[in-house]
Amino acid sequence: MTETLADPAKVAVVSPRKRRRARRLPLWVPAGVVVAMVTAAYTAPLPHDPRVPGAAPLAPPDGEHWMGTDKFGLDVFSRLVASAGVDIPLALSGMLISLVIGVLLGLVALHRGPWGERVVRALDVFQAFPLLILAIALVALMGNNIENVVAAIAIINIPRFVRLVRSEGLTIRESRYIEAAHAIGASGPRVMFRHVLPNMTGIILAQASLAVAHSIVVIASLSFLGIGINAADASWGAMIQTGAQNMTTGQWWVSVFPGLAIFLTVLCFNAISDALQDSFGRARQR
Amino acid sequence: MSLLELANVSKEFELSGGTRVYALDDVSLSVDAGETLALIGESGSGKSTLGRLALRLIEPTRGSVRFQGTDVLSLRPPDLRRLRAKLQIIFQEPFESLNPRMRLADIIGEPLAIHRANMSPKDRQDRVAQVIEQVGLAPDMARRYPGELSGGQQQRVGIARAIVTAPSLVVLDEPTSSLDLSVRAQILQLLADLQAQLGMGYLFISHDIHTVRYVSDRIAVMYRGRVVETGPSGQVFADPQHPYTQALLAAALPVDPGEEMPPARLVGDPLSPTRLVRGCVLYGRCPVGEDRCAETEVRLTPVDDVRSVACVKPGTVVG
Repeated sequence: MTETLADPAKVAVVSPRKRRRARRLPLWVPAGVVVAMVTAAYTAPLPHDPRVPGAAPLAPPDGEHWMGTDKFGLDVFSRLVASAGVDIPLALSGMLISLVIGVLLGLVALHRGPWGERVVRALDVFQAFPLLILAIALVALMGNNIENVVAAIAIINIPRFVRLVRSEGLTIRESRYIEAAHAIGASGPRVMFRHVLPNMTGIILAQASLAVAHSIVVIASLSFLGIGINAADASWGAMIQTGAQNMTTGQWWVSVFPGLAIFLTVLCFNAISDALQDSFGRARQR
Repeated sequence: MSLLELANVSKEFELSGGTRVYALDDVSLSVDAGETLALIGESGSGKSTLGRLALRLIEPTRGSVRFQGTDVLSLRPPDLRRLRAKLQIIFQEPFESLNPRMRLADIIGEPLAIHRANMSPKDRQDRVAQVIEQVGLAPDMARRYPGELSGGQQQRVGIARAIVTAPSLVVLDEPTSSLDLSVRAQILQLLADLQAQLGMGYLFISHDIHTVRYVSDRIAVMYRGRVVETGPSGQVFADPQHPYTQALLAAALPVDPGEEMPPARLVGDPLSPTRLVRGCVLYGRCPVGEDRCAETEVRLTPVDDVRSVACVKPGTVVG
């Protein structure tokens, strides 16, 4: 108490940041939820086989079927848990591919030369397409399998990384420490990989988490439309699709629970993004 | 042969609207080994531009830059990078000039990683530790990040990075202007000690007369992209020849706050840097100016063996 009174500057500088931190979830909460969901999908003993119909169709939630059953008599809860093991890894791997390609292209786009210009132009053309439509078209054209879903996710997420790396890079490149790096004789690649890139890792990771959130929705949309993941395999989008016709007749549980699962997962990845950005921002100010 | 020689250097920038800014106009100066040349002038006078030109961090529009006899401007990029071990800079903003994501040991060791590629990691570590001690930082700070240090400590890191490859010339771009007064004195003392030990030439850029008086052997006074007066600092301070130098020295805050401030001697504002001036750059503001000053080409002209002034009637005392 005496300390805060003794130093008014400290009060003014530190307290708004603390207030902001208090509102945010710490990183381990949403990350823990995601890890728990994926782990459960692979290891938890499910009450019923998610692929084998063994119950009355469209049974409402009860002690036996916690989230009811769908029109094929499949247990919604078991399918929901199993789906996490499909949807989340697919979104993550698609994101990882787009991260690597997108960051490299972003660095090329920063280059003061014809190639930088070409990447920026290509990006503009690419962005003329609505991303979801593009993903649907890609999967429809390339064929209906999981590899192509991952490829489509990767492709539609590349532009966000290119754009981010380019815009951040343009700012960082004007910094005094970049001038200092040139002044000590650092080569172009050295400046890029030692000085420019490390100063945007936080924001890239934050963006990566948002990309996963977006990809979860895209995968669900593809499955909902019946392209991409085989409907027999559990997937949240396919589950919603299965229950869609039953919504109007009162069997809400078939679609609503997977919808909530998507909602929770997207929320978690958004919170992870916030927490990452926050912790890296703090490191920068420190 | 001087350590650094700039001859007839001009720099023009083009703004986005097509307007040309004449940042430097036909500037020549030299720095000898082991000496400190102070560049003094108000903001916008082109002194920082000149400092960066000397290191070829920016390219001049015209003129030549020689370092130890080498034509710096004709060097190809790899050769220029190699030369940077000998040519260093210390920045005005200590924190902004340090990569926030690197530890001090890595920041200070980076010039060695670039220029002494065959140095063993152990030797490099030893050299970094030696320099850390030399600039007055505690050895355990090597593992810290720049954000964890005070402004004075950050500037010591900037100095350590600059001297680690034992350069011959260091450009100091207002190295103390963002520091507290007490810290400023320590940093200036450190810079003087290092110069005495290592024999580096300093190009010391500053707008602060008191600092310049303390550090410099010679002075070059800049105004609106030109050097208007040069000479040994003692003589320039004692007997300024150019009306601008006289006004600049008269405008310095007196050490005694009770002392009365002299009246401002220049009228009006500096000419816009987007105008290329043929005559004297001070024309219109000068208390002793005449009509001919607007048209006569006034170039730096020797008034004795060590001093030069760009004025049609140098030494006129304004009353």
